[in-house]
Amino acid sequence: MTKWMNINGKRVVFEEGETVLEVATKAGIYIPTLCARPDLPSIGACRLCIVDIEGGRGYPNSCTLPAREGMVVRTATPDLQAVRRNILQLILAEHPSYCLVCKEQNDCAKLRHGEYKAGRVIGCYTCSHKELCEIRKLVEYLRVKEIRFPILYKDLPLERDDPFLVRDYNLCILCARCIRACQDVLGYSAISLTKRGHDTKVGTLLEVSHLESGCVFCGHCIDVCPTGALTARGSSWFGTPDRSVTTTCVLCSHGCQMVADARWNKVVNVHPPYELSARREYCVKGRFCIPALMNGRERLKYPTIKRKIIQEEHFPVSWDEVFTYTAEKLKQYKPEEIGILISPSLLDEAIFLLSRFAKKISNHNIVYDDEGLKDLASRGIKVLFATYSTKLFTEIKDLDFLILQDIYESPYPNIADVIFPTTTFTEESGTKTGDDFIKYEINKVVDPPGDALPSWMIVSRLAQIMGLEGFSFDSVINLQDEISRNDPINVPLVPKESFEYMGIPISNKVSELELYLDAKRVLNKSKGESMLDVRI
Amino acid sequence: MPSQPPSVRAKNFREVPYGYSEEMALTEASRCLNCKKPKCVEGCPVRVPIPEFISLIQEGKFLEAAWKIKERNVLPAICGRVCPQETQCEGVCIRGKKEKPVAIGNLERFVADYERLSGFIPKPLIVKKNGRKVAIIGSGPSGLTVAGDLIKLGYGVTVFEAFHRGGGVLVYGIPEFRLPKSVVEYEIRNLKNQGVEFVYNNVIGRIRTIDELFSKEGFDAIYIGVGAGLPVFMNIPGENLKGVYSANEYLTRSNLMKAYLYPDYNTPLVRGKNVVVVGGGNVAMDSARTALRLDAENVYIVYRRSREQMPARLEEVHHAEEEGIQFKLLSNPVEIFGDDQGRIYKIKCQRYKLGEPDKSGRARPIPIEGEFFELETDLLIVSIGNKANPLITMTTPDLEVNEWGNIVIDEFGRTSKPFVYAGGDIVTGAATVISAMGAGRCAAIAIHEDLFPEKKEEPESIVTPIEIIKVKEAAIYTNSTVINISLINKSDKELDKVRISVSHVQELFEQTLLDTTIMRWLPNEIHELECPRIHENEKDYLLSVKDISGILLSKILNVEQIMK
Amino acid sequence: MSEFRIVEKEECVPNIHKLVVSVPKIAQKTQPGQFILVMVDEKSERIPLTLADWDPDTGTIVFFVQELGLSTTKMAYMEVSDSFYSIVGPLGEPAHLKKFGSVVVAGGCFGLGGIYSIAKELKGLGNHIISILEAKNESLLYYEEEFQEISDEIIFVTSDGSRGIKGHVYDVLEDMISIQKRKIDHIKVIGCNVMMSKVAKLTKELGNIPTYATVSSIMVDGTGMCGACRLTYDGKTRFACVDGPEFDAHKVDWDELIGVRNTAYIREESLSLQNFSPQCRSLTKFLEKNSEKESV
Repeated sequence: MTKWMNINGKRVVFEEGETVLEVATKAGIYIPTLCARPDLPSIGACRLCIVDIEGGRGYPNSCTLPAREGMVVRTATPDLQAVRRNILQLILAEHPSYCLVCKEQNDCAKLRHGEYKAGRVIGCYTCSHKELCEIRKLVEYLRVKEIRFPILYKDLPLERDDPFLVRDYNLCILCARCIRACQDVLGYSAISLTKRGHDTKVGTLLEVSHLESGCVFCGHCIDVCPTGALTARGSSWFGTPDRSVTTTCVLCSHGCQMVADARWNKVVNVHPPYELSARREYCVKGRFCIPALMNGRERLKYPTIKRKIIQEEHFPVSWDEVFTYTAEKLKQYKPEEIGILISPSLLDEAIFLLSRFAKKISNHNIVYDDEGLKDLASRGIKVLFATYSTKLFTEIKDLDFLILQDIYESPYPNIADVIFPTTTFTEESGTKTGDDFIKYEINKVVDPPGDALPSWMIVSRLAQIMGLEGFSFDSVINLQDEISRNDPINVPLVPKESFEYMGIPISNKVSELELYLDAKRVLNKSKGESMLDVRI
Repeated sequence: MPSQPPSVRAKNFREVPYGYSEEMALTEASRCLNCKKPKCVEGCPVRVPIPEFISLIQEGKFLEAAWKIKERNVLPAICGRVCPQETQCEGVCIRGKKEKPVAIGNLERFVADYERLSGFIPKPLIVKKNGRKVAIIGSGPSGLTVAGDLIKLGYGVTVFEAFHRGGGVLVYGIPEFRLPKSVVEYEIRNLKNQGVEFVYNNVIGRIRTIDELFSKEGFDAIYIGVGAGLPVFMNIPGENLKGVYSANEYLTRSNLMKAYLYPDYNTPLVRGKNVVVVGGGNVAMDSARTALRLDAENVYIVYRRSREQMPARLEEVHHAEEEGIQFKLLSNPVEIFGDDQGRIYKIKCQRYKLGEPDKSGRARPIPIEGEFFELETDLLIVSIGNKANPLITMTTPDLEVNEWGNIVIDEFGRTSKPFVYAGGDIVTGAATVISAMGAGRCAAIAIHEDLFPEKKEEPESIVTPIEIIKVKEAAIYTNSTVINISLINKSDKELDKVRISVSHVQELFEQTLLDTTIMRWLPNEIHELECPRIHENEKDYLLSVKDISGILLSKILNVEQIMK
Repeated sequence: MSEFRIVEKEECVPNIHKLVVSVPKIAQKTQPGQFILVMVDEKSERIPLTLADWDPDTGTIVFFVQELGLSTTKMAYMEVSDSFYSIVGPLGEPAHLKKFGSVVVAGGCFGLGGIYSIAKELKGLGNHIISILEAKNESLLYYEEEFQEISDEIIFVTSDGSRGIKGHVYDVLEDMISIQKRKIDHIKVIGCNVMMSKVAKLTKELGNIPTYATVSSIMVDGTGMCGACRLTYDGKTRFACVDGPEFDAHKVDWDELIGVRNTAYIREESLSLQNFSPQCRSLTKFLEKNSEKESV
């Protein structure tokens, strides 16, 4: 049943159970908040969202005030603004706010070339969260020009002994968003408010390490924190990104939506979209490991053919040359001698075309993992088109010709006869089918390194050079239309517990992850759990 | 020599040549004519016994061949790779008159690598210390040569190096794909095993002056081998813009600090797409080829003179060309332009033509009036030469230098300061590794002569007061034998400061196996000495006993006789 | 390797760490104004740091590190009894010191520590020392006691006015020279390049008072063989590591130094932190604790 109330002279409709803040936000009326977020239960800690209710006493918090039929609310009277300014100044007095009221803010920005990558934040100029800081936005909105109280620097120790997560509680304004996200929404309860009175601080119970308190390093606390108190170590100091693209993480089949920030044509940060921050369960892999995984030094850039002059060497060649050579070679073998190894990390388009390719030239000898590969080997295949690198290559006895499509230099460099460098999911557009047959959209964030091509394009061009029908697509959209006209393919899903991408252990590229996994295994063992758990 | 094909090697930092297999080495070695008067030895600045080591290769004795080279050249793995053989040994090879010369450099490299990779660890020399200490400033090729020579003579040798790793220009100047750093590490480790002390992170001239090395550290002699480390800039507008490097900085960042492995190694280095290298020497080739391997699309060498006048080693120029480096000859930059961020984006070059020869005998380049061209570039490397670094000469006022800051020496390496010697680029200006080694060799001889001067006069015929009682060969460990010598003072006088030495009999430079001084030798006192046998091939040993009056005993001991 | 071992380490004010390292040879030979080049580990880069103090008897040197990027962050993570990979020094020409008369010694940020040795030596030579210590806020002032001992006058200046005079070093100087009409014979200043350039501009306008600044520049080798630290001085190119690091501040081309020379690697500086993986101590401690339990 719709109900009506009045906010700032405007008649707005609301549902039973909504708070005044929610109603105002839906109606497009801005009420400043600091501790409230649409996805977290409200606690009324910061008192910035206070409103004036006609006939009411004092100024209640709109974030916890249930809307009532006929309420007349004013959100921005001069008195309210004055009280808010006071509240904000009190908050700022326990935060390193020197820069916020410094007269030389504008000049200072001009003189600073590049980021000031400090350890402790002693002003906005040393804070990596400057661009997104909600306090700065409030200072601007409320036009706070001075702080009447002496600024107190709490001088708490900097907490940066954990992987991925850096905590500077000298910036914390005790809004408890992180605690609510961790406890109420996600249920991990790794952190809470500790100590009392003026010493109140966010921390773990009994001051154990975050690992032992149950933190799974999902990074939600970082996403909800309004200040720079909680930051991700590897992605802090890039300033405003050149591009921010919404896409989907492919490291497992859960399909978490993510926003990838790019700077200088490299992915530098990955975080959940604002609306989804505390609702979906992200894991440590997608949240923290993607930039380092994509930007490693040994990314393959050029297609190569192995030739022997004196020793066997991989010669960088053009795509046309490697396709012609591969096509020639493939023609010399019978369908039952050819096998295709598909990595479940590949996108739908690539898997579709590889399946079609397999049907046409290899008796549909498709496998998706090492087990399947062993099976193929026992059946005596001579040619393998592999889309990830595995130790089993050394164990296939009669392998004559190995085509390897990969993103990093293989640990078995000279086993492959031709190498196709391909893109990761941040470098191409497409779709990926995940759990429950949901199709996720993958959008390109940065350009691939060197001459690397998306996997579907590689198969398409190779097949065309071999003269096969049904592989000509000039764009991913055309290919997607074709896919929709065909039966879906059952690809094995990548479980959440997998720590590999395209056959590469992620911890090879992200050293903090390796240490974290070791510690997590020991912790799980001590708790009697045998499986490595990245989420509850 | 089989090598990596250009398109492959332009993208990696591995060495260009693959190295000989044993068969290839035997085949090439068999081409040597074993001339009676080997011209190749004359052509070598340190007189490596080339026909002899090649003969050993022919016999399949690769380790022995390596040792044979090491009698004269302490760093064969390095020289085989960086020497300009075409102007030295191979340039005068008799075979080279009608066909290709014997590939002496490749063979030298082969045996040196064979020794290094065979896992053979040379036995530490058991040489009695002679009580004197020598300081060597700079761990480059000349310093390492002096260290290698003096340690065998029983000196205490300490090498001071300003950087955190040893090798000097071998490690900061020459890229990984021309000289793998593992080779340099191996040679330095060998010297350490023999007792040479390496002190890194010490800049002599700052942390200690030369005078303090004498007075506070007690060194008896000092060798200065600091190289020519002062970059020369062109002094044209825009030279301080971002993206303009001296070749020294570019190469030090890439080779010593391993910026080509950035970000694993933290030192950054600009990776340009269109790179211009100014200069025509080996350093310019190294810079250009490094830039090519660091993601450059176009690399240009801009050189004021013509192709034939380029001082770089022929093989380097050849390799550079194969890899796709473009040469803009008879050109020189006159201005550098930067964008509003202060980064270089293009240069303007003047065209030249060749005119009359100048003092050095080369045709002089003359600028063509009004003829310019522009090149778009985001990385400019200035590689037009190096001058003498003034750090040591500034803090040592009584060290004579010439107008360019080079240290002045006599023909043996002695400077104007007593017991201070110098050699290498600091004396000659930028030159080659092998000439620095030759200078080091000279200086080592001078140091030894000055610290242990010997009277040249022949003593009158005297009754030899020293007699050999017994000479015996004994096996101590499974692999090594020693010769036990017992000597007695048969005279009725006490002898003071008797110096006894045993060495291999060789023509030019004696290799000492034993060098010891007996301060007081009473009549009828017997002294027993132990001398190691190092080279199984050697059969004769020279036993020499002297005091200040002259030679007391000089006898050649023959192994065959001892064995009896 | 017990060489270059840290004897003491303290974060005296946020982001500025005082490090006391045992390097006897350098401690014996250093003169005021010289610096060291430090490599934190084998893969690190080489960065220059001014020496604040040194003790030949204990063989230790003192320097201040401001956490500003990858290498200095690595240093901030080090603990007592860790060792640096390499420390080279003392490098650079010693500061230009003699009896000038009335000398103003001004320092800001990391320069506060750096200028201490110069001030101490000048005091010993009989100068009248006026120390000006600048910081953003009073919580960022340090080394106060040491300066009290050797200064005849000491002035604190903070950007927000929380202690002493509100403003910057050049405000204090302007007041001293133009308004109070005091006679200053010589000025020494160490701090960030922007601050020093402003001081230089002011003292030039106010009558060309001799001002000497210790410049901060990018360095690689420190002995004058590479040219990474080159700047334009009096119209010519000079190397900060052998001709400096102390220069006549009126002749330095500050715009080029600040805007061009020192901004050469901004992009790399941000990217390098992406791969920075410190030894996550909470995890290593946890693993140690549990492996002990297992062996028990």
